[in-house]
Amino acid sequence: MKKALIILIILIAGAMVYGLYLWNKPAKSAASEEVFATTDAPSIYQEFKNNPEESAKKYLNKNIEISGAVESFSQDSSGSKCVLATGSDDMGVVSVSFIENTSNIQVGQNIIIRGLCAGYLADDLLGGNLQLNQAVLVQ
Amino acid sequence: MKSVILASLLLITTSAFAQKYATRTGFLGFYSKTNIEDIKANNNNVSYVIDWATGDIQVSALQTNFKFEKALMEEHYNENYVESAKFPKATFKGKIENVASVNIKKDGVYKTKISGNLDIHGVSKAYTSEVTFKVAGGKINAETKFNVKCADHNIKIEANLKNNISESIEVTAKAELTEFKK
Repeated sequence: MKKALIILIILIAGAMVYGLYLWNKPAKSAASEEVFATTDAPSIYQEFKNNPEESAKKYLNKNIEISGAVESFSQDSSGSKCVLATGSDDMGVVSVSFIENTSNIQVGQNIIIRGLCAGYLADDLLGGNLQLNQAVLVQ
Repeated sequence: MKSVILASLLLITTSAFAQKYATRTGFLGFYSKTNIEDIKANNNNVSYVIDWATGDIQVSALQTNFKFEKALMEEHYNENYVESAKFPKATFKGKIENVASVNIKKDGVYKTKISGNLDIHGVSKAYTSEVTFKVAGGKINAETKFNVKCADHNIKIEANLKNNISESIEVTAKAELTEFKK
């Protein structure tokens, strides 16, 4: 009887610890996830533009390493963001949101980032927008 | 001569009104309040396009870009509620009522209404909401708040979470738009 009680207590404690773990689970980030693909901003942008649905299936939530030229950089309460040039004939961009504030990015600079693919928004006027989140600056 | 003046006048007026304003970094957030818990989510990568000539407005957001306080909430939101893999985008397409009352060339605060269709989770529904435009220094700040019922968009909340997640979610849309130039 005593044994059963001890086992029960251990089980409950285990469930509580697991529950706490789930509740406090850190968000996935490009710092911890395995790199799924390495590419450059113009190529991956074209891939999404030409085939948004297939590309989304392939890359969504995956960690992608992308090299590219910085078109703009901003920092505000929502964090650091940069836009990589796509060289596309529409106004399309690759948008990157960093996990941590990064101040050492200059417009025109060539950088390499890793980010989790959040998806692609197509717009007639603005062109496409491929978005990467929880990103880290590699170089 | 007269016709030239008339033509140039016409050209000036049309170009003054044929103006599109846009941003890719607008805000969209929602807030669920119950006695048990408050849940908030923010998305700072929302695109807004307004055509002041017609009053057309278009807003699009990626569901996976909503950031929650807890990773687990984000997971539940994307997997169980809005099914982001199947319905990756939330979009709003609508019109600004009485668009001529907003003078985008003159600094000031303009209040009007906006109505259109919000598409979430594959279900489109009509909404009308009060909107405020603040014009200052060539930038236009737009802001509106309205409520969305989960059931209206076929988003089902499990019986055991009914007390944690409000049936009516407050949505805030906020963006600073600048003139769109090619």
